[in-house]
Amino acid sequence: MSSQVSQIRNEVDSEQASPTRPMPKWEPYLGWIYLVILVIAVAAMIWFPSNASAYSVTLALIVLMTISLATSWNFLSGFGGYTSFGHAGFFGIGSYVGALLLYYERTGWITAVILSGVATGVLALIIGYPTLRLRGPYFAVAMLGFTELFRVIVTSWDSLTLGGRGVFLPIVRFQQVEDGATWWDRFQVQVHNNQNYYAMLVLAVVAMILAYVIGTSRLGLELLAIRDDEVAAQSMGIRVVRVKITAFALSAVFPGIAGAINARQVGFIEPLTIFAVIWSIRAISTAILGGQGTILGPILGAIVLTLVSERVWESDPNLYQVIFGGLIVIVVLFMPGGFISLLQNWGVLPRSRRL
Amino acid sequence: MDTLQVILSGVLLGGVYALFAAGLNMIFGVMRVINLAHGELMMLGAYITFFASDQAGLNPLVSLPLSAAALLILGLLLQFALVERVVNQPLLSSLLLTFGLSTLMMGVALNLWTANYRSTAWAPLTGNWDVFGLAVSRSRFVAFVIALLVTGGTYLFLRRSTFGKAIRATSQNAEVAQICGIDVRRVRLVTFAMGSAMAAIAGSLIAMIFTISPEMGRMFIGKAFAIIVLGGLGSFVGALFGALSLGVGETLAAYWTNTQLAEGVAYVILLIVLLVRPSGFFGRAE
Amino acid sequence: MSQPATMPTTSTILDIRNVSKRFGGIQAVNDASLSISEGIVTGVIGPNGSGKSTLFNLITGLDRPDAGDIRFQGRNVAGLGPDAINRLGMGRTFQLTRLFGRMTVFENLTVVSRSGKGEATDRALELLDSLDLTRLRDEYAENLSYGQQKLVEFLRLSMNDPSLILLDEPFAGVNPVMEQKLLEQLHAWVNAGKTILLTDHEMAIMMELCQEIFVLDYGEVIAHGAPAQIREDERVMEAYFGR
Repeated sequence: MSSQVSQIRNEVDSEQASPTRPMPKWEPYLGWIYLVILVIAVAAMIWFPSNASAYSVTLALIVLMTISLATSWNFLSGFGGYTSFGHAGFFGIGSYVGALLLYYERTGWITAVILSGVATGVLALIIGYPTLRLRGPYFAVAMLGFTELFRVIVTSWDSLTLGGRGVFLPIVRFQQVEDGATWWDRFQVQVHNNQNYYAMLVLAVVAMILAYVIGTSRLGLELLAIRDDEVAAQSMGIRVVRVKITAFALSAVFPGIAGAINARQVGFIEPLTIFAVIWSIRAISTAILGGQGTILGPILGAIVLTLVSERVWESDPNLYQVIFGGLIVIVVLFMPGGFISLLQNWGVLPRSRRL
Repeated sequence: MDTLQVILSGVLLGGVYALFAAGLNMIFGVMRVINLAHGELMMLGAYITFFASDQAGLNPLVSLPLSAAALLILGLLLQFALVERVVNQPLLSSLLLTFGLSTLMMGVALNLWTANYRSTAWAPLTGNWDVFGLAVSRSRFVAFVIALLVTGGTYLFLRRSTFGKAIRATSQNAEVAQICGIDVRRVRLVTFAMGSAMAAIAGSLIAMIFTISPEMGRMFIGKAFAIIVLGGLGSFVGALFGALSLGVGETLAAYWTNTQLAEGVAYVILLIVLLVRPSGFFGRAE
Repeated sequence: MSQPATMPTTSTILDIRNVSKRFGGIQAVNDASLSISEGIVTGVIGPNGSGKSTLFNLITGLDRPDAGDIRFQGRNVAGLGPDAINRLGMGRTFQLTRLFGRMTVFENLTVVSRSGKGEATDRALELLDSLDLTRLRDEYAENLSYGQQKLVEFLRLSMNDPSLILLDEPFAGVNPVMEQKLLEQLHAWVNAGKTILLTDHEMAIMMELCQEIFVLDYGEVIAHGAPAQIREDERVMEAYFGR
């Protein structure tokens, strides 16, 4: 009998799965490493427009916007597993709130942009409460519905929104550098001339910092638990509705602000293009390519994909859609965890929650 | 009288909607996949009919079987190569996958055919018939009849035929069905193919009535969801009721307000129903 | 009509009165009443389909009763969500383990904690150590063996020190060594004054472990009492073997 027991005991002990690779020594310092990289990158980005063509600055702006969209989408959809098709909806609402505030000359542009984010955040709280009681896929369908509903409302309410005619916004008037200007003066002119770019830079930085904070916090872990098994999470006392709504509201602020900045940048918005699903596609495809539910994934995905695809967007916008659609299919089938997860599986990167 | 006419018009439209939604319903029932690409499948069917008419002068009724056949094959391929792989994964994988497919197909269509609206007009189907003083759009009426025939045929197939029963069994409990010897993989293949064909037929019918564009899929998918939640998932008859209600609701809204707002009816219904009954309709065993 | 059973000197921690639940055409739980005494191990047994899992789901908030009352420590909990009920001091396991697969064992424990990070870490490590599982702390939960998962589920529910613990077939499919570990944990809980409510098909263990047993059949309570009484009860025999 005892030999049986010890045999089984041996079995139990050897039931241990293959030992996990230990974390590399630098892993706990990732937060600091990120900070250093961020500071350097931001400094470079601040300097960038002084030595770049307008085209390059616009491209950089788009990269920053995509980073903001993808990173914020990841809060609820990556970490929490609640795929949201609502980003396009918030982008559109943010665009309109910002554009209309400016069109009707109610506030300065910075206030308008911030208010756009507030508006979409509050909107998310309102619609989040009923929709996040639904389970994942049904929430996704509901958000599809909301996005379209927003578009319909904006188009129909043309006394306020100018409907299908669209809203024209004045483009930033360029200032010239005067002779004998100091370095500081020149810098201020540069910031003024590229204000949308700088605004987007701020947004992207905030998004990335927030991603790190959420990713390394209890909230992030709770979202991951919800993603893995919501019923179990709830049964263990995790206030799932509260967690989801928080993530949702936080995530909605960014497309709102990005939409407002984008409206200023482009100078013209109208419902069909601004609510177009392409904005959701951008956020989703870059985030999942980089790695859903990770901190770095959406950032990497956004940078890589945007740089690669802007060429395509210019020459053939429809091909862009084909590529992104195809990309989503490939990622879902072959690398559902995105690049980060792939690198982790290959042992190149550690299995750290800080990545 | 006018309102009656509008309602009738809505009912006729509802028939086509029912056909579209039925396919989506079946696919979800059998494999728990929310096929976000269903609208694009319909769009492809519509374009086949358009081109058949435009290029080859074929009347829509003749190109209908063509479009059904083409999408039947495409559906088989898609299911075999792609959808089957996500069937046993969490629902979100299939959601993203079909979303990707939808985006891909729409992009291809936009590329090939541009975003311009196209329309097919076949002489015998233009204009109205006079039925008891009501003007009944010929194209809508014919579309309605065909849609009803196909939907009805599918219903009978599901109820009476052996394979139909296999499909229903798999919808109820795939594991048990498999244990009972049903080839669930084949059931899934056939269901997706059938669903695609049904979407294609609906598309061809829509091409008879409305102008089409590569973006039409996006509009119809919302309607389909509204219908399914309204009528109750898995319920064929429920979906018919939902579809007719939506058709009437939309047409009345367009009549009373404007077409833009009418587009919103489906979404409003979808959201109200989803939110009022929080346990979700799609909520059979999770 | 079943009558609530009470032990003369201990209080009732969970009072289930005339609870019913219907699913479509099936009456899963039918006017069931159970009084669970504090500090002891109570078992719920019954043939398959007798409504045990449904009853558990009703108690823990995963489902809402159609009728009846459920009072936990005097509070009415029927209709509260599972998170609220858990926070009142109820913990549970599931028939098929439900860990957070893509998270490590350590994360599975700390994520459910309601204390600060430091405290949560300490408690998690302490619990892992108590069952000699510290070496598993960085394993992904989905890579654990079935028995190991069951143990981790036990630890996870312990994180917040619940007063009432519901175990849904804890011994199903578990080898004797693992069974020993589970029993050790159970005894530790009882010694700490916790109340255990469990259901299982392992008759021998149930009879030995439980101080009181309720028998369900077709959603109704057909018998209750000490194991010795249940063993002799005709109705119970009939329920299990009679048909």
